[in-house]
Amino acid sequence: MRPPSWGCSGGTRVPGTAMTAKRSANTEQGRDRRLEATTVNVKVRSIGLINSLLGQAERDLALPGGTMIDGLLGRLSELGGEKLAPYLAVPKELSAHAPLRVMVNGRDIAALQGRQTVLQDGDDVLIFIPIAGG
Amino acid sequence: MYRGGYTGKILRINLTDKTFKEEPLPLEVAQDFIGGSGFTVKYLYDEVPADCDPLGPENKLIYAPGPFTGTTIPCASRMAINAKSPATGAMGVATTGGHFPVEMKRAGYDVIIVEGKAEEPTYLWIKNGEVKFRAAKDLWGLTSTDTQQAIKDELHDQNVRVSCVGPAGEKLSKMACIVNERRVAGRKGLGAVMGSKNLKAIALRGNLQMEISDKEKYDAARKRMRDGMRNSPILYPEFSRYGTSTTLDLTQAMGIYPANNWTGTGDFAPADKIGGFAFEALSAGKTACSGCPVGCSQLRLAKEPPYTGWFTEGPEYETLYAFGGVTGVDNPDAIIAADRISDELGLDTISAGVTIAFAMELFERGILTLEDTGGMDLRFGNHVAMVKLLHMMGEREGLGNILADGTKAAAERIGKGSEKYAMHVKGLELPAYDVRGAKAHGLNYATAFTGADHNKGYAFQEIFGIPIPYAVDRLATEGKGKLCKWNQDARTALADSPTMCVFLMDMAVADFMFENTADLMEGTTGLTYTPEEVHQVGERVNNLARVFNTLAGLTRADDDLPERLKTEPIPSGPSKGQMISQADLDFMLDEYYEARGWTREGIPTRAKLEELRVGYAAAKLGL
Repeated sequence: MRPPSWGCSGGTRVPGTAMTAKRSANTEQGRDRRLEATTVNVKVRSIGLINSLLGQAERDLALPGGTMIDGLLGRLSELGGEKLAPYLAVPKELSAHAPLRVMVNGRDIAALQGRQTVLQDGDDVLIFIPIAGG
Repeated sequence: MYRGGYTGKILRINLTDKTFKEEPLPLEVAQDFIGGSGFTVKYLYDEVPADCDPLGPENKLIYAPGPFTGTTIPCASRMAINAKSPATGAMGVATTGGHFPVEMKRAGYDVIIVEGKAEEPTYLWIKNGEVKFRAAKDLWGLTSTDTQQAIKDELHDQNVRVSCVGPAGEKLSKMACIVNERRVAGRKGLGAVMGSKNLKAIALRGNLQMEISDKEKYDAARKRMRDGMRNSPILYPEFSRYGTSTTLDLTQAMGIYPANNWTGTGDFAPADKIGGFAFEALSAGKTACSGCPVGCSQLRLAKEPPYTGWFTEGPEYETLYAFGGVTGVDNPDAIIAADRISDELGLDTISAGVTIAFAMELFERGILTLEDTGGMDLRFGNHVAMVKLLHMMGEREGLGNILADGTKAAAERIGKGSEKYAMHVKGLELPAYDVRGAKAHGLNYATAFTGADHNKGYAFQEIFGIPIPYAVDRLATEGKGKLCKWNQDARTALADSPTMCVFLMDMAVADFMFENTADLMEGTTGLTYTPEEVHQVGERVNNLARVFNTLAGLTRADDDLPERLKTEPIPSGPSKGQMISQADLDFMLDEYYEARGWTREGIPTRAKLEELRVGYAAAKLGL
């Protein structure tokens, strides 16, 4: 439960970087093209707790074309077993769950299409749970 | 009236005429400012002329723990210290944890205000309502650990708690800090203010038990917070096990770990040597602040020559940047030694490391020569030179004397265009996040009332991806003015004023953070707040501090970032190509001032000050 008023509202202006241009391929047209592809090859990197539960800091995965981040996390849950799965699940309340962080090519999926972000061939995916500040 | 939490007393000490008196803590001050940072900003604003010399007798040193400090609420063993900063000329609030803050409450005080200047080196001994002015001539020149031990021995009481300066504070270094146990009120040069008063230390002892206003509400609020801590999957065992050190692994992965005086972000990737997980190999146990069940403080022991045997509490993430990335060093033993040496000399690790990195860049560019460095090869990555220069800064020897006041002052003395490489805002060196890749975090560096201070408005949304109050794109500029205000006010209201450990906000009570403080306040003190009113306490403090800074001569032009961040993109890595151009900064500043209800020049308006019940500050601004 959140306090009733946060005093400000959202809204972001995304600068026109190369990464944004690449992401904009996730339009219907782009997605259709991808669905036709048989596989996409992505690099998955993890650090900290996720890394120790996965047992491997870096791995290359071949996924069916059109796979979203949600699908990738499902696949990793299978690989990492029941200890890892809860960390990759969608949190029901924030305080009781680790804030899973997923970045695609250095960009937080929160700034893309969240768990519905479609993976593209050659994507670099970083998955981790931040522990603390400095 | 408040009925618990507070002792209800302010202790005012005058070093010039060796007098002291107790004053009551007014209800309206408690209600409107909560404690800690809020109290110190209020009293500094009220009592210290904004245009005074920070190292003159008019400046005051103000200590304040919070209403929960000394109760059984965990993670509240912190306090704020404030004075006009010699580094920035602005308000210089710093916070520290450990045990001293709890002892100060037990000694009977919500606030201690130290005025004037002692004729001879002095330390204060506070116990049972008495203040003794004791000679500190024999303590002058001692390191922070030796000072604390010598005072305990002299008073025949090993449980005395001491807040002191090392040699750097005595020598008025503008990056000198104040040390208690192995914790530090760092940045902003508060140690120099203490040294300027000929005050070596404050020692105190007490046995007062805090009263609780409503035991039932107190227990319920405390239980909710404890449950949040217990249920957090990262507080235990991860954060407890690694502390802040793994942030290096994170920022490196995000491409925002600054290196080589901010020229090598993304190129320098030392996590496998000095990251949090790598550092575990040098573990020598852990410790905790008073009443803290988490214990994030890691103890580390250096194992390799020439640093074998150096032992420290930390290094925290910021220090892994200051004596790591920004100086181009990837030797963990050297970082352990540099961390400890800084604390012993009483130098701030961030400012010291960034200033050494500044000198390294000047050396590589030929602006400083071997003659200037006394024959030292000061290239990036030379950890032996780094440690040697640190000693020289603490003792003000040779080049160390020029660097001891930080990058801004050093650039003014060195000239030759060196200001271009001085990484500071308002005279305070940049902390450990390359904000070209985290824009709200960068706007906070530009606007925090203490200078480039990550703790004043940490954008945990950008760094950790926590979607409160909403998810953001760390690379976007729109919306960051509002977010920066939100963060600065939240941090002041939830951490710095109640003096709660900030890590709770991110990791244990994230989705009820304002309610948590409101409920704890009602149970402990009897003072009631809505969640919005808690947030507004932070806004009030930030506005009053801004008025002080405006009166001290700071303007919109000081809400700036170093030239490099505005003109040179991050060279490589996941944040490659990012920067904050002058246009980006102006855009975010306009939005920030508008969200704050200030003029386009960044000056608080009468309407805003009256809305926050500090309308009395408008007259000083001539409004």
